[in-house]
Amino acid sequence: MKLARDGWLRAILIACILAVFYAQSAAASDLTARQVTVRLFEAPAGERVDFNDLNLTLIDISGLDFKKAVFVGADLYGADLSGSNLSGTDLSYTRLDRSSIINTNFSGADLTDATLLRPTTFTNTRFDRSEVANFTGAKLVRTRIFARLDGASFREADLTDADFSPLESGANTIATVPHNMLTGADFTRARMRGVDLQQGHLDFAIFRDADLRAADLRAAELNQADFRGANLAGANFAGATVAGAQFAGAKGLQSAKGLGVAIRPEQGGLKRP
Amino acid sequence: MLEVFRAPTRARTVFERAIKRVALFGLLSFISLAAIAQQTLQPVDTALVIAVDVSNSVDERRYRLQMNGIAKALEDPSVIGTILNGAQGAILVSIVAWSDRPQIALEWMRISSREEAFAVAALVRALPRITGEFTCLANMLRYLNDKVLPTVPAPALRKVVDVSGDGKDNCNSRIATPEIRDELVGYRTIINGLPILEGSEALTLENWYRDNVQGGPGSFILAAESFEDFGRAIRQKFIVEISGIDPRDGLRSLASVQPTNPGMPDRGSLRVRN
Repeated sequence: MKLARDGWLRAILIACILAVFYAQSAAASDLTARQVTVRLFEAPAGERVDFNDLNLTLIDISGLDFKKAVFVGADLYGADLSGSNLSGTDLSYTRLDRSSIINTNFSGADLTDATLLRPTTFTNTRFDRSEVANFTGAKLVRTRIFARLDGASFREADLTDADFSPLESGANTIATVPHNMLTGADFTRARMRGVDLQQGHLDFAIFRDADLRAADLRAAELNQADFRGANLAGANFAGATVAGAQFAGAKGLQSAKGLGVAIRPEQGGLKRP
Repeated sequence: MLEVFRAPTRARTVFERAIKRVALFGLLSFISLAAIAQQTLQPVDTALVIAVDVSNSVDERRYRLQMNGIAKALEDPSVIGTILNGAQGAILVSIVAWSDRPQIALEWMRISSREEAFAVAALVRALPRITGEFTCLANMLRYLNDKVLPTVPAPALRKVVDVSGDGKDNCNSRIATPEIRDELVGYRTIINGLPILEGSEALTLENWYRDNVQGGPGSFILAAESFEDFGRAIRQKFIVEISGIDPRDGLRSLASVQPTNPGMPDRGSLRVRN
């Protein structure tokens, strides 16, 4: 009887060890940070290094120049990309959730259909402009973003159908705060048709000459935002706060929804109801 | 351009000095990088990373003592002679300043002549101060392993890391210091330690460096008694590290060499790992 019980205990112990081993091996990334560095360093000049479909989760690849590398479908969950130059890289279909993107350069990168949920964007709770990630000229088509990106530059970026909406509650969510934080973000000349910015904190954001047709700005905070020269045809401002926002030269105001307040052209702004 | 090295006068403001220092650093960086670009593939005897502690305990004076000590050592005739007498007659040097996060203070520089040694020394003296708070030694070793040593721009017979600091790791890093030390040694890196025995950890720091930092064949620990003693210690270390000779023989023979700072006796203990 005792022998049988010992056998069962031993089997359970072995199963536990195997389960832990499997879990660890499943979580391990395909490359070490050193291997990533070596690949980049040894690549011939002008060649784009291929990181497609790799598991690069939780590795520290901060401070590296990725020389327009290709990451299509790669998993960068929790990776430290702080200070890295990802300019011109192809990050389409990647998972960048919980990554660290302090002072990361995404200018001109392709983030089509990527997800960027709750990245670490500042060293601490204080806003520091030098730490803001840069998305100037990036392609963020249908990109799913939930982040604190106050002051970030999206100048001339393509944000068509990008999704900045609040995260769903319930299972499998990693949301802890209800809004995207984009105070002072710069969307000058960005293509933002169909972008979902509902409930976003966008005070002082700059949308000069941006294409915001059919954008969802419901319940967004847009006080002092700058929409001068923007195309707002079909944009939905229902429930948004727009105190002091500038609309001089904005196009499509007639078809914008929720702007049930008088525009004062002499100030280029809106009068609060 | 050389005015930067004049003794400060009342008329020159701190701002002026800072501007000139940055300008000089930029110019010398450009010159040295241009030189290195032409010679990157020529092999060297030693690729030497000097990892300098810039944590909270290192104030401006202590930072300058370290940088001036490194610069003076690079200008030392014995050090230059050791470089030029090597099989390749050249080394590569890089400086990493480390605290909370490590960062490259000086990119890889090639030294294969007295003039290049003096040019790099001038660069080191002009380095803007880098500051930090904690002593994250394991993180620094991880950084060297992952980002710096894989990018040595020329074949090197030896890869040596020279770690100096006045405290033990206090970062509670995800990886333990000896663990990443062993990983570096696995890539045939030699890690030598220069603990600065000043402050609250002075009594135990040398042993901690020996147990947690030192690694690789022929590696050694050479302690400095204080920040003022750093220049003497780093000079002695350079000669042994660059020559690749047995540290016991190397430091014994150095006793007959005129020290850079005649007022400072040769001190510091030596333990060699075989």
